[in-house]
Amino acid sequence: MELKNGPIIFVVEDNLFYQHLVAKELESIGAELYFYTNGEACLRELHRSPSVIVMDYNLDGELNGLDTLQKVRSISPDVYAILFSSQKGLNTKDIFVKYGSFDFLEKNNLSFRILKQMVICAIEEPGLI
Amino acid sequence: MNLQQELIMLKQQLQTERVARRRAEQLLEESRKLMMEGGCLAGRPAAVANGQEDFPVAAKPEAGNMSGGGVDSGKEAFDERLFLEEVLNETPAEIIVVDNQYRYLFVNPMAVGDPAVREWMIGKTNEEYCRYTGSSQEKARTRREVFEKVLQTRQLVEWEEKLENARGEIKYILRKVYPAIDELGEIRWVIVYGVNITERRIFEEKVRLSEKRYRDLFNYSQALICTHDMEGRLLTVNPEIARTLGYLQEEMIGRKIHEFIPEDQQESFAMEYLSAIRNTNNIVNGVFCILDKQGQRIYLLYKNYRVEEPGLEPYVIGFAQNVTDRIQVERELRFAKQITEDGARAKETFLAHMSHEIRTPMSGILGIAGLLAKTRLDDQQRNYLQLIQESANNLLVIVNDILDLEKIIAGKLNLERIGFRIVNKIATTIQSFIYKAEEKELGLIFRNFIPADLVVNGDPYRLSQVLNNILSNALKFTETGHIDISTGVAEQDEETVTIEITVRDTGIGISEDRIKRVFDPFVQADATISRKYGGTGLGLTICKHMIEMQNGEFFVQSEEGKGSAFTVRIPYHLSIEEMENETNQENQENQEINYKSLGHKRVLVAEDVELNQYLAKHILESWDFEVVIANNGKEALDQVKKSSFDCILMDVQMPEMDGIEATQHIRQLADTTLASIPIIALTANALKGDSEKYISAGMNDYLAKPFDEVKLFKVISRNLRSRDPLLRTTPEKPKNGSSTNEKTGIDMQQIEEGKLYDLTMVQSVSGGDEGFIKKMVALFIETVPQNVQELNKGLEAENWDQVGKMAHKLKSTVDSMGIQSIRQDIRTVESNAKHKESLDQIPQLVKRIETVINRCIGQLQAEIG
Repeated sequence: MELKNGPIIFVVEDNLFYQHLVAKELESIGAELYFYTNGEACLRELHRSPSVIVMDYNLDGELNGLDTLQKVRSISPDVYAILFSSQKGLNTKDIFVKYGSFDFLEKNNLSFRILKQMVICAIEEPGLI
Repeated sequence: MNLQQELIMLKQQLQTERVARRRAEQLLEESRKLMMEGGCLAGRPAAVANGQEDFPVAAKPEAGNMSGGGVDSGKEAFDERLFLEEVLNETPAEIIVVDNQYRYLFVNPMAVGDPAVREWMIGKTNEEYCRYTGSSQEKARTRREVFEKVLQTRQLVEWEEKLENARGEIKYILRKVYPAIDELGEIRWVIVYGVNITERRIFEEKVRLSEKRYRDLFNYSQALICTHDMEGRLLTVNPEIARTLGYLQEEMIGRKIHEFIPEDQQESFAMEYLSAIRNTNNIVNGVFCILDKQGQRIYLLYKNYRVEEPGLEPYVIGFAQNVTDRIQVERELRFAKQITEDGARAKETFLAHMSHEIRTPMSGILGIAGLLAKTRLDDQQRNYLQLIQESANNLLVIVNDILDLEKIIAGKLNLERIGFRIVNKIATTIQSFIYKAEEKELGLIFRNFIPADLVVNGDPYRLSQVLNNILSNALKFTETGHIDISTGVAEQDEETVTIEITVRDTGIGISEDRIKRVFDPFVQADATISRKYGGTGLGLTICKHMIEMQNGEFFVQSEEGKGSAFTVRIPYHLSIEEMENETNQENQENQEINYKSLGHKRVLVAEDVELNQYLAKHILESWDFEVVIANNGKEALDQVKKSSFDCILMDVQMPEMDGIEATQHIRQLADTTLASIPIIALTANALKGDSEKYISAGMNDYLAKPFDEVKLFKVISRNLRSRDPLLRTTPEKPKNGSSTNEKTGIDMQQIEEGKLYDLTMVQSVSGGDEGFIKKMVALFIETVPQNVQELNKGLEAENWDQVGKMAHKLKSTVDSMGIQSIRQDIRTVESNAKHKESLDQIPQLVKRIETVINRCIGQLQAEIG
């Protein structure tokens, strides 16, 4: 078994620039961060059991963020998924129910702090067992 | 030692013991054969037939008899007998030979240790021996029954005898009783062969218990337990699994697990589970989604182990628990959370609407009152007007208080961080109370011990708000005497300074039992106070929150009937900036504004409230502007299409089409000149994040209502000036948009001036990490040209999806780098490409984006290296 030092966070984001910003912002949480630019890679790596997935809508590869989330949900029903996107119309109950996102955050210059808060809350939520 | 190991050890011992016994049996069989042959060889068949006296072997040396036995074969026969006797005596098993009447013929030392007893036994029956040893008749009877059975069946009879000695120790003997039959078919002797199997029985018992424990665990456990082979075929399943999934155990065993996995999970099951447990990990855990017999999805939280034991095929033992309910509950909880959050959002929206509903008419009242004040009024009218203005202002304060508190509670109150001269700020705040104090004939004393040139970094507005609140309370609750404001530096080091401000009054004071609650929301020192003095009871709560947000302290000392003293302590960072700006700004504000300096402009006012329409129109016309009114967003859009404007004032909330939507439509117009008209949002929405929303909708600026003439003039002149060079060069815009080609050149000129990027956002994320900022700049320089290239490629191929996608990708990067000049262009490209609209605009916009980005990179390289 691999030793886990801290909670694991996946960031699925096709924009490298944004990846770095997210990385910097989440750096202080003390989690292991994994970055993917496409949904397929994220799905392949789910065995790392991430606690939180930060998911963009537009991704490289065939799957978009929602498709990916839907698949994630069927494999790991517990992972806390935050849809982090500038795409409009994702913050609806239908989307939450259909694709299994737990949270939505609109991407803009002010939202990084909020993202960090969301992630911290998700991690600190008492575990399942 | 765990169960598993114990079991293995016991099994091994048992095996060893079994092999030893088999060896002993073989040995005995050999001896029996030898004995039979030996008897024949000895050439004394008759003697044997005659009786037991002549039995060839006894447990006592009979050398004489034996030596005389075989004359012909002589020494050989003698050796044979001796050998046999020795073998029988040494055999680690009880060997007894009896005749067909159950009279003892031979007993070896294993069976009976005492040689005297052995000798005595010869010729005695089983019953006699049992009597002799004091054993029960029951034992003798059992033995006899076995013996009779052997005689009757002429077959080997195997039985197990349980013996208990005087000390209560129990011994298990496995006896094999079988007849020795001569060539005539008569039973000559009966051989009783016994092995002590006590140890084995104890082992077996242990194994049985151990296995039972394991089986019980398996059968009665609430956990779901199974084993399967490396192909995923179920070897065993426990009853709990069968119960959970609604199958019988036998319906599951032998089937492969993936037959129970739903279609959409097959791939992940094979990938994440089966191949993992087979190839990489000894332990795999996670959640399976399994279909039960009814086809319902069951979620199992599992932890499975691969077991590899020497000599056994590797298999997997799996433990799981059913978490379906839990997952369901969690989903419901999440849903409930969503609803709660929706509710919270609704509340926030409600507050925003409320503030809008109240502020809009308020702005009308204040605006018109301002206009009225400019007309000729007699003293009484002026007095009434002043009362109207005061009441309206008070109402605004209350609305603002409620909004502030809501922001504080929601954690949305943002503090400014700018340099300001602290004494100036305090003095100007106090100044506005001088008149009121004079009216009430109260003394107002300001004793300042803060150096006049002390400049700090912080939020001057919140300081002034707090001070305002304390002073207005002091004035409100003091009828005679004075109000004393003393300020000083409580602590100071190289970087920070803690300012202390105390406001002392000689008012009604607060009683001891109420003083603790004065900072609670909606609580006033006395319930009668709100009737007598008014107010919401929010002021001190807000002050306390604001001060604490700045890491400060706020406390009160009071004596009923004598007065109160409120003390504020706030730590500030010292600022090294010189405070020119502040003074300039103040000078500017104090300067007489020449409202006609902008010249004749045409302004579209989109506003649904008539009073506000009138107010805006009146103010703007007084500046020599031409004003066109639109009652909603739709009308505004029609107006823009019909004629040209220099600027649009756009209310956000309007019927039919709101300001944001109208702005988005305007920004997408084919004619780029029309599409780039400066739009200023007029808003009563004061919640945080709104300004961001307006800007991202494509508005250039915003102005919170109620606005006054000065603010309106500033925002309009700011936005007109920045567009001026553009507008001047195309005085008359052709409606078909053909002028756009010439325009690019002009735009470029505009691009050249000043820094194109703004790293504020990256800096704020960096938390002061310079290396990070450098890295981000390098990343920008490295990746963005690629994106632009791909954008161009998509453009050449007229692959609009690609263009839209790349524009989307660039959009967030451009926003993060604060490249304002192409902010809107990128959005237009993305939106046009996505909707396949006005595609002919795209090449030119992309060109512009590319130029700006290249210059930006140039600037960044020069700046940061």
